[in-house]
Amino acid sequence: MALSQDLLDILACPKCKGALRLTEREDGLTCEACKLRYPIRDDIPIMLIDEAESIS
Amino acid sequence: MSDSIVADTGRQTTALQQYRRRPAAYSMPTNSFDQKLIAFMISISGVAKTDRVLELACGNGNATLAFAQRCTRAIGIDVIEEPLRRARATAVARNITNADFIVSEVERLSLADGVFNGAVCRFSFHHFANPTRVLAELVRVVASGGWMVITDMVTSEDPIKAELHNQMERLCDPTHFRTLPASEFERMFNEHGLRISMRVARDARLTLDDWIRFGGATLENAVKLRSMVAEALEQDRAGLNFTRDGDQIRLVHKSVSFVLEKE
Repeated sequence: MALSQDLLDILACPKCKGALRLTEREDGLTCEACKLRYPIRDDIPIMLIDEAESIS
Repeated sequence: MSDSIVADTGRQTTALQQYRRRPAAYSMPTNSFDQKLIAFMISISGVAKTDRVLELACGNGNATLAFAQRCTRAIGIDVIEEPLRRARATAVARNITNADFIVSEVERLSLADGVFNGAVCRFSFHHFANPTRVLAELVRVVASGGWMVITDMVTSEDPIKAELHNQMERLCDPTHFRTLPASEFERMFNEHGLRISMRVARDARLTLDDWIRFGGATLENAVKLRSMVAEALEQDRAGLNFTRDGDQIRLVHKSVSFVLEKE
């Protein structure tokens, strides 16, 4: 089961509150402004800055 | 740890660290009190079928899933992943398709502004290191005209009694941060533009043994707590109405459910 569109529409980056983009593999959410990728595990977005991956 | 998360008391901590000390504390199965409380919160919330509802610090997601059956979408947030996995599995098993769960710090919600019609939080504010900051986040994500139901235990309005009560609670449950007096909740609500439309008080009578068992105190802390209770017994020094009943000591835990409207 993928994330619902409704959930994707209301999720925001916990750091900047900006919009997020679903990764191509649908396994994470990217904040372009903060250069952070938040993982999605078993359809649960893990929106913790400590667990986000830095992206270049 | 984020340098911006500073507790009211000056201690630096986060809800995440608090909960990681004892995650089992809120992985308990649903009991009859929990079921009654959820039904009560649903009834006083006035939730509408078209509402999108947030549950803050949702644990196993029991209330989130109950609200999901009465609104368009319910979202549960918690800082610990494991209970949310169970909540997700329960949703799948019950074929509840309008409930979602997010791991997020309560002081930094990963949600856009004003996207919820309603929000609930039950027996969690006393765990928060910075309740004002958590409330500010809750207010941010609820739309103008939206509702909230916040239920939590409350302590004495006498600061000396309140401090002793909180010392006892922290011995009983290491995830406890600070129980607030009802007046402090009301001041916080007022400062955040929330109007109290209903206030329902409840007295829960329990034994000292039950309190210690439910809190999960260590043996060492239980001994300290029993000693503190013995000293506080006669003059109600902790505001918990301790009474002797044969070999048992009984006490009263006060809680309040606030129904709030965002202006």
